[in-house]
Amino acid sequence: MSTVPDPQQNQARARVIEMVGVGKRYGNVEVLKPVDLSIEDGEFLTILGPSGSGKTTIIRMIGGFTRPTSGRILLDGRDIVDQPIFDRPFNTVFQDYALFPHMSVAKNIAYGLMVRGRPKAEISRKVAEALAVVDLSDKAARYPADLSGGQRQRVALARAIICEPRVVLLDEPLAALDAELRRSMRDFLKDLQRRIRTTFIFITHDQDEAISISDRIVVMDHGRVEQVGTPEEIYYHPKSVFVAKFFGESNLLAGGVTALAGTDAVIESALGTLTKPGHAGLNAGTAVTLAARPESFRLVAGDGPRAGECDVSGTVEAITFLGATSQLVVGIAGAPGETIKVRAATKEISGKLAVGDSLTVAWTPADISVLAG
Amino acid sequence: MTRFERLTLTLLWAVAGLAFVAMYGPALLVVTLSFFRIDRQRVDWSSFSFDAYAGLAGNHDIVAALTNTLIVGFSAVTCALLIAVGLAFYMHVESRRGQRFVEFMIFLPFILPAIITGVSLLIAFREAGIERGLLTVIVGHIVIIIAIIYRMVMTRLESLERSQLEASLDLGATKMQTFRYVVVPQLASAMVTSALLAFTLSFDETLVTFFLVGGEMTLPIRLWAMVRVGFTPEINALVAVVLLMTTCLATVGALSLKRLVRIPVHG
Repeated sequence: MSTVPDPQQNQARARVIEMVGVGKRYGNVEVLKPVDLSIEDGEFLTILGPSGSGKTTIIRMIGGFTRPTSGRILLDGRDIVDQPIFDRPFNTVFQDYALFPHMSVAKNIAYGLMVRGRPKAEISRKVAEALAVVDLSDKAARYPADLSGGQRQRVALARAIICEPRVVLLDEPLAALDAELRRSMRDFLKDLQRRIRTTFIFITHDQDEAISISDRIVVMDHGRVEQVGTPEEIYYHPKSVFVAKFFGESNLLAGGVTALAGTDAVIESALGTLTKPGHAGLNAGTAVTLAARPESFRLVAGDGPRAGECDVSGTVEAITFLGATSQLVVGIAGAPGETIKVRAATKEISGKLAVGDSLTVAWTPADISVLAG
Repeated sequence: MTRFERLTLTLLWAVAGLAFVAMYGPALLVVTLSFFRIDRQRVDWSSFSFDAYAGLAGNHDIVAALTNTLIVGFSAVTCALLIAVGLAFYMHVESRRGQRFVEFMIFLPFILPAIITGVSLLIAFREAGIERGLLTVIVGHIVIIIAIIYRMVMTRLESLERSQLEASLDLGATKMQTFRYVVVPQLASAMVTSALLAFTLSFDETLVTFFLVGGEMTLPIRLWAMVRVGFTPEINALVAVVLLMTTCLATVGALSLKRLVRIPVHG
């Protein structure tokens, strides 16, 4: 008998891990407020937040190193909170790599298979494969102390993937590397994840790293999930002032809801009057913050604003050369003390604009996020 | 260099020399005298021989005492090692409550005057109806040496990154496998070093042993008994043998301690 596939069921099947109301307290201190989070099969999920935001607590609870004080962690729909660490199909890359200093690179990588009592021939074959994947075939007999930071990192990765875990947990693995190595390891990680098609949960406090590497990002602050979304969603449509500030550079302008028209909100700010659709939660008189990226603004030439655009006049207060682009600080006309940062191509302004010049800046209302508070 | 500086340096050298003479002079004197005959408290410098050592080997009481000392040393060190390593790992892995109290209890017999430890153990054994003998001496030595083994093993454990233990469990190892494959290999040098130093302590332990020993004497007790009767070249030879063995053990212990410090523990 054939059945019609249930799309919702299919979606549920694609979930590897589901956290339902998972929280953590140490006495009276709540380090993680109850979190609901689904992790999809094969995705590269980054948990991003400053120190003390609770991101490491989440990864340690998934790995089994820390027991949640509330909620359930489901693996393929089954609660694993009581499952011991060694019985969970996850492997971790630790911040300090945690390589065993008395074992060679090959033995470090083989460890997971060895303790599971796998045949020697299988171990040798898989170690050789893993070494090839991380490009360390010639370092098999070396010891961790003989390796560079990047090489140790790759040994830790090989050790974590050799047992073919359902999920690889990466606890700030790039934190100890210098900037150049971080960039190359970042690309390597993304490439590796695509090749082995395994779910990666990656912890970092670096926004650039998160943007460049992730399929989805979970932004955390003070033990709370602030926003979950794709890098583009989070970058261009932050849902809180914290996300807008933490995630790249933003213009934040104070505003207030002056009227409601259906689900549309009419908002007054230094940018003028703005009508935002789909803000049913707001009331007239509510104070809001408008957030927009510097590149969401456009310098208006002689042709004026395009259809659907709003515009505002101002004066150039500062110009910062950033290479291909430059950033202007524009004082808004009629709003003393209010400024916006505008990003434009350097060749567009070079020799044409100087501090003190008047200009008009245009934007699309869809690029402005309305945030509570 | 001024004259004053030269004088100061000479004085410092002289003080250091005197200190060394005070520390090692008597021992060297005893070793030297062990090769010569002593007649009416006078040394016959023309009588160089190994007779005293030959006499020592032929003296069944001394050989028996040496055997007892070795039995006590090996047994006490083995038992103390097992207890101390197990306890240290148990205390370290999950930072147990009451760890400081347990450590205090372990260190107390080591810090207390030996006479207190000896008398306490003697009373305890008598109340328990246990006859004095090598077994009671072994227990007494375990009580004393367990502190040094525990501390050295714990120091090594504390320098071992907790993430290594977590990594082992994360890779599918049980706690026993983690102990066997990750902890023990990295503790080996600490175990050897502490065992050697503990054996040295046990080898020449006298005061606690004095209260607990029965009819079967250990080497230091035999030596003490011999000294009471009078000084003979055999005594000098025995002291020389004990000195040599203790120095060898301490040297090996110190060398492995140096290695212990050098081993990199970070991945």
